[in-house]
Amino acid sequence: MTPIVEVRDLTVLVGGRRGFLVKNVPPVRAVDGVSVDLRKGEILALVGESGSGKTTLGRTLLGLQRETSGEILLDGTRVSGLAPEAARRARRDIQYVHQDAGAALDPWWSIGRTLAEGLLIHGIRSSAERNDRVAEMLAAVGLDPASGRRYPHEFSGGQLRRVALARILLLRPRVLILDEPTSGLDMSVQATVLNLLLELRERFSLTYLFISHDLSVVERLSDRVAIMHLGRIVESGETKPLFAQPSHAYTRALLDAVPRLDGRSISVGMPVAAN
Amino acid sequence: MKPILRKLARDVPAMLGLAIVLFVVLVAVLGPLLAPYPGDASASHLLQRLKPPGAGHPFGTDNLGRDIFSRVILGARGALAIALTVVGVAMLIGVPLGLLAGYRGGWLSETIMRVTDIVLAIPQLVLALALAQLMSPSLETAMLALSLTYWPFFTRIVYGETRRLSSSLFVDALRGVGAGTGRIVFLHILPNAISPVIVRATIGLGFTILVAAVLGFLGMGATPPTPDWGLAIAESRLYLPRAWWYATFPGLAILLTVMGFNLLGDGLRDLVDPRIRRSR
Amino acid sequence: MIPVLDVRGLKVTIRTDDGPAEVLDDVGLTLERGRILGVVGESGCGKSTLIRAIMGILPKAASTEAGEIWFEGENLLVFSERELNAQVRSSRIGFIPQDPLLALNPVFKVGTQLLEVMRWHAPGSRRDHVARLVMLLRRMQVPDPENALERYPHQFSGGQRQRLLIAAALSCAPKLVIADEPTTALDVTTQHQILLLLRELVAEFGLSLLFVTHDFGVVAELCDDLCVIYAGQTVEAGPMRAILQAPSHPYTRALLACHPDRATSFIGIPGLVPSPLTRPSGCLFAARCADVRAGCAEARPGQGRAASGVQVRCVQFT
Repeated sequence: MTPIVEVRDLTVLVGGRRGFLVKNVPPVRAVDGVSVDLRKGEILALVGESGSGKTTLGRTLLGLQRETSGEILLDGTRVSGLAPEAARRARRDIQYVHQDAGAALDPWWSIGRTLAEGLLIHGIRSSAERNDRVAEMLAAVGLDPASGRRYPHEFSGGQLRRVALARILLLRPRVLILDEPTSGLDMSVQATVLNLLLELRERFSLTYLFISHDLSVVERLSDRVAIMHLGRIVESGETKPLFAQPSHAYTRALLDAVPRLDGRSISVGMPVAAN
Repeated sequence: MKPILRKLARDVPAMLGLAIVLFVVLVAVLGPLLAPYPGDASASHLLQRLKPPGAGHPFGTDNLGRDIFSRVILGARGALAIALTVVGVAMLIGVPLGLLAGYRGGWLSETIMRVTDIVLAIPQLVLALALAQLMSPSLETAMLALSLTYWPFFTRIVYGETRRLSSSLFVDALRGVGAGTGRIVFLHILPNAISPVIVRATIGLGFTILVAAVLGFLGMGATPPTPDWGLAIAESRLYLPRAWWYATFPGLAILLTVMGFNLLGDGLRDLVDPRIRRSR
Repeated sequence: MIPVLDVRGLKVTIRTDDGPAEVLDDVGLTLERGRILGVVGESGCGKSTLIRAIMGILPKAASTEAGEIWFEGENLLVFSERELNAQVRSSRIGFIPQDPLLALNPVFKVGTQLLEVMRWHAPGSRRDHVARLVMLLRRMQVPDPENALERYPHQFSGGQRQRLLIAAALSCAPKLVIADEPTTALDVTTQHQILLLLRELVAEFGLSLLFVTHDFGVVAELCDDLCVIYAGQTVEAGPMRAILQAPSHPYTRALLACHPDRATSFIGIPGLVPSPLTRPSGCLFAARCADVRAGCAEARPGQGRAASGVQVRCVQFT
């Protein structure tokens, strides 16, 4: 069965400025020859630390960042090699949930209006229909439909994440790229958000690309995992086996560093490398 | 909205400024109805020239016997009209340029900002005087000169805000949702960028009245017999210090009005401070 | 031996636009000499206010209604601002803030900023101070310590900046160090190194460390003792292992059950934390408690003890 998203040998160079009265800055290989598949209905976790390229990879898949070389296929059709606005149109089935859900909302717009805006952009002319769908989706993510009248600053972090989810779910995506969906959340709220994500996957037949550095969550939630380091995928495979028996040194280092609830506490005297 | 208004209400100087501004606006709007001698906008009564403040003429009379109290009231209209026109035109030029320069970088943006820098370097008064030489000195010439030198302030503010907002997360999210450039710039960036513009515009109103008064004083603005405050001070020069009332009351009117706008503008600036904006 | 830090019955109220907010209501904790105490709580529980109260930097609208903060036998709440500056801050209590980027002034060299603190609070000449800083930076494994002082904050990575701040906290040889979620903004491998480093420093410099966090995993790795705070109250306190292995208070149990390492499914805790503006009259957790019984919503429970000796604020243990 064709994977829903295929990435072949993707390279993305970012930054870089050619000098004319400005110093020459070489671009950075944020994503360096990455190949990965996303299978329908699965949760694929993309794990890496800051600078690993995971966010750039996410944004490139979405279409906001242009690829330098390589291919991206959606349902077998080539969608790479397009300029940002065209890329977004071709990849409408892929949507993105930001890490900072609150900052992804216009502070001057009520959330109801923000939610409806996506529908308006995609051609739903009737405001009655828009309002109905917005109310329905707010309920689906566990929020009071009447809260559409309120503004982002009136909601808590967990609630804003639900709003962000509602916003993109209204656009009927098939693939969701979730950027650090649990970071900054209290543990009890985190659990509710993860639960919601699982429910929504069932209900709307979604596929998730789950970008995170929280290995405990990744281990519990994802089907497969890909470990990124300095723009490359160093190891990938099914989550449980990979975490039980990591082959790559970097994966081992990451797993060693995760603070675990039960088990070892730190021993004094280990050599520490400053980064 | 309400918590913002409540916060403003607690700022005493800002409330004072607001009160003054509303008062001046009221006086301007109702001018001819409030002035005891509305005809004194043009008529002269030489038999009553240079009377000190007293019964019937609370501010005294000027060298043509006109009631200064009435002329001060009538002058409010002109002052506000100049201020609103100048600031309005400056915003109409400056804000779109700022949006354009801020949203997309590149050579267009650079060109706009360099032109802005150059125009900023031109002193308002000097340009006004130069234009008055080229065309005939009049209120319209003064307003043209002031508008042409004030728009860069708005461009700069809007440029900075637009640049900041263009790389903000919610604009990113909008692009992700499929919003086009027009929608992003006019429905999202502009409303978010407008607060500092309003602050600058309010203070600009006061500033313009002051500069217009100076131009009037120099004879480069309003022409007689217009009841312009600056012009009145100019005319009073010959009769000082004996007819002290002739310069004092128009001067106080200028002082009060400009102060009102400044206080209000300061209060608004505190309100739209990013710290407060975030917790709004 | 008296504990280094002993907070008792601390009650702090903050005046807000919408009325008085009871941010802290009967918070207590005990930090023994040479140990690491973790203070855990979710957002809004009052952790930051607690830290600020200890450091004496509460906002103007805050008032301490009751309680004492005993630091090495002296009640910090009776110190004046001047006394706190001269005698306590930096020289006896060091502070490691949450975000190293925000804590450092970007336009001054690192050395200038660190030396300024030492000039105010540490005895000795400038040369002594520089020597001590270089020694500390070397101990923190900041590369090229001699020249590090000449660089600007943006020239360091996140992990290195946090090490700079740890060095700053230790620069005047304090006895107590308070760390406010210092690893939240860091990558997991960097966090691991910083936690290791802190453990070593506590042993080496004879410090006592108060570590505020919302991450139980970090607590499990680093802390000796634990204090759990909910809605401005201490609900459970005692040795870390004992609490993690057998949590007594319903909130602690529910919270630990949410951790991915223990969760069988993702449930979360139903309900919301009561707002500090409208605290209920009974137990603050009653509305969300799995073990709630009659009487819980009417009266506030006092502090009791579990079988393991852990302090618990629950009717089941009084």
